[in-house]
Amino acid sequence: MSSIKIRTKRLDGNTQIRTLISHPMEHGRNKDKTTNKFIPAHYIQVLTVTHNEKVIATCNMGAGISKDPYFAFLLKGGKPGDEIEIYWVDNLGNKDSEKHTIT
Amino acid sequence: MKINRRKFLKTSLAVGATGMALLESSSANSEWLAADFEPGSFGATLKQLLKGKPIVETEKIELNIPEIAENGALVPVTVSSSLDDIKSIAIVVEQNPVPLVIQALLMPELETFISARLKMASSSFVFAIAEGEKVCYSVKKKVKVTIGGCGG
Repeated sequence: MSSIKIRTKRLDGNTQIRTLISHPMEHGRNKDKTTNKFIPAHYIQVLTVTHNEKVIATCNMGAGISKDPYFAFLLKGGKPGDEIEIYWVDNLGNKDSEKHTIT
Repeated sequence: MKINRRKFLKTSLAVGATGMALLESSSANSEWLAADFEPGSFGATLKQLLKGKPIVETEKIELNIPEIAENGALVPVTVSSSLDDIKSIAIVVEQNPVPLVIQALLMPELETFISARLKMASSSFVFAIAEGEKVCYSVKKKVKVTIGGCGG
């Protein structure tokens, strides 16, 4: 199952794009309580949003974003049938993507 | 063994005091700059973001964040603006070990709007910095955190 959930909603002629990603977003300074060792950093670095295959947003981020990050964007216009794709890359090289069609 | 050590010394020297060599080589995306997201001072982060442009405090950018955050691990934030020439929005938390939280490059297809959830180590000023054509707009808000988001 994909780690990304996408929801879109039409708002006054615009389209709100909301996304929820399941990711630990560890910044590497937390300690594991049982082993007393640092939990290695593991966080998303780049999140890209595309609209009909054109990149509309690139977000560079650090581990200052909460665990299971949530983002919302507002697309000018947008119509049913348009395709939104979101993908991310984390600091360990993992990646995931998800497609969504505006209804 | 010897080679490994030599190699390690060489790379760590090349990256300087930062020692982020490992992180840099594993990063798949060239646009993501490790230097932006290193633990550092707020001033240095600000300098990097502004790229020499003057900073203007404005009320045209709206920073929506609770004044009192009960849990620093999850602070919802929304930045929106009626200004049209915004290329990117950055959110910076002054007291965080890594002050820069997110830098979003927004294409003209998007309204100047972003919503996210941040971690905050302690009570701090939160800045939203929007990069325009010639100047950077900034707006700040004080947020009080009752439980820090960096404890472990």
